[in-house]
Amino acid sequence: MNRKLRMGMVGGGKDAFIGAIHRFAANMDGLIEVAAGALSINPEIAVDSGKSLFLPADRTYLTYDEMITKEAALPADKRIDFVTIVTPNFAHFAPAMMALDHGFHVVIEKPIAFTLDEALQLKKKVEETGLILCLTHTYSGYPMVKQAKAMVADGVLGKIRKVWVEYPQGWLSKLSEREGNAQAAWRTDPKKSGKAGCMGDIGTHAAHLSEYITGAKITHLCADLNALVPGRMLDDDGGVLLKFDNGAAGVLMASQVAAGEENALKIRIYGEKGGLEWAQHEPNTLLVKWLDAPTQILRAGGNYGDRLSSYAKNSFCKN
Amino acid sequence: MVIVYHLMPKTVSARIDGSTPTKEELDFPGVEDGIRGMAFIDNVVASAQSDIKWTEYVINS
Repeated sequence: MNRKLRMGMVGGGKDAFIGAIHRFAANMDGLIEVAAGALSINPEIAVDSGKSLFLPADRTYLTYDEMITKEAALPADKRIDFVTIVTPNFAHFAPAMMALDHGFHVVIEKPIAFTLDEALQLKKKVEETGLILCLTHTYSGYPMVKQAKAMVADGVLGKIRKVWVEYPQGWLSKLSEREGNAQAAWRTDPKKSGKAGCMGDIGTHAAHLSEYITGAKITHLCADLNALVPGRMLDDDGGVLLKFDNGAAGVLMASQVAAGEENALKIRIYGEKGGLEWAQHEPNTLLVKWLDAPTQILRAGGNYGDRLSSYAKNSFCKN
Repeated sequence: MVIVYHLMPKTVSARIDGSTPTKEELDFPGVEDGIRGMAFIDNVVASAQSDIKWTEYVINS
């Protein structure tokens, strides 16, 4: 590949939170450039956001429909290679389907859609088109998470018995959705977020991480969901007991009213011989605890011979 | 997030170049993970509304 990939963004304008994180991440490895955008449903914000990203005026679009149609009509050496969708949940499906229909690969924020039915339709479309769809369950990409997965798969811990995954945040401790916080407003609105709040926003990350590392699937669950801030329309907190198809038991805790917490995702997994612990606040570290030996601290990029998987040995998380 | 924009573009680049991405480069979440995420939401909400202790994790359209 002798050029950067060209990305077209749907959503992620100046008023959005996650769009800037996507651009930062996309820029980090120097593999991608933002070439086009339909950055906001508000035309003024769309244009302003395009200017602030130094996008050419003719590739700053007012709707995703316009962006996908016009980009698809450009010559192959100009048009975008893929579309990144960072809109609220209710606005994932339509641009994703349209992008796939026009031959573009897709990166899409989680949860993938508004309903399970939409997700199943997207699967069908991906299979029909043969295009790539990447979902941003981003924690499964950290080098030491991949290391944890490799160690579990290699049987280093023996049979896996227990999974604890916790994801406390504190940013919804007030009724911020009524105080002009746009991020809070859509995430707590069932018409925009879907049937769950906290569990859709971050519980899905925790569940994905537990299945990713263990390689096991959740078969049964017992959930308690709460809207702890008076006046909130969707859950902002919850606890879920899990059973996995390998016989392991699990506990998943997610909360957005853990006042004072930032993004304190942490997972602990225990097998017959020992356990693993990984926390998002210290993402380049994996603790390995042993029943009959001292705890080890493995670091991404560590020079430990063959002890690290090649990905963890050669990668280092920079943010 | 950085990792998403590392593995996914390598896979897209391989597609454009006609080369084969490595197993490592292909290890990013996709549509199957998205379906399990939506099913997780449905099952968690169903369980929270139920008085039965265990809810089977199903993928129902």
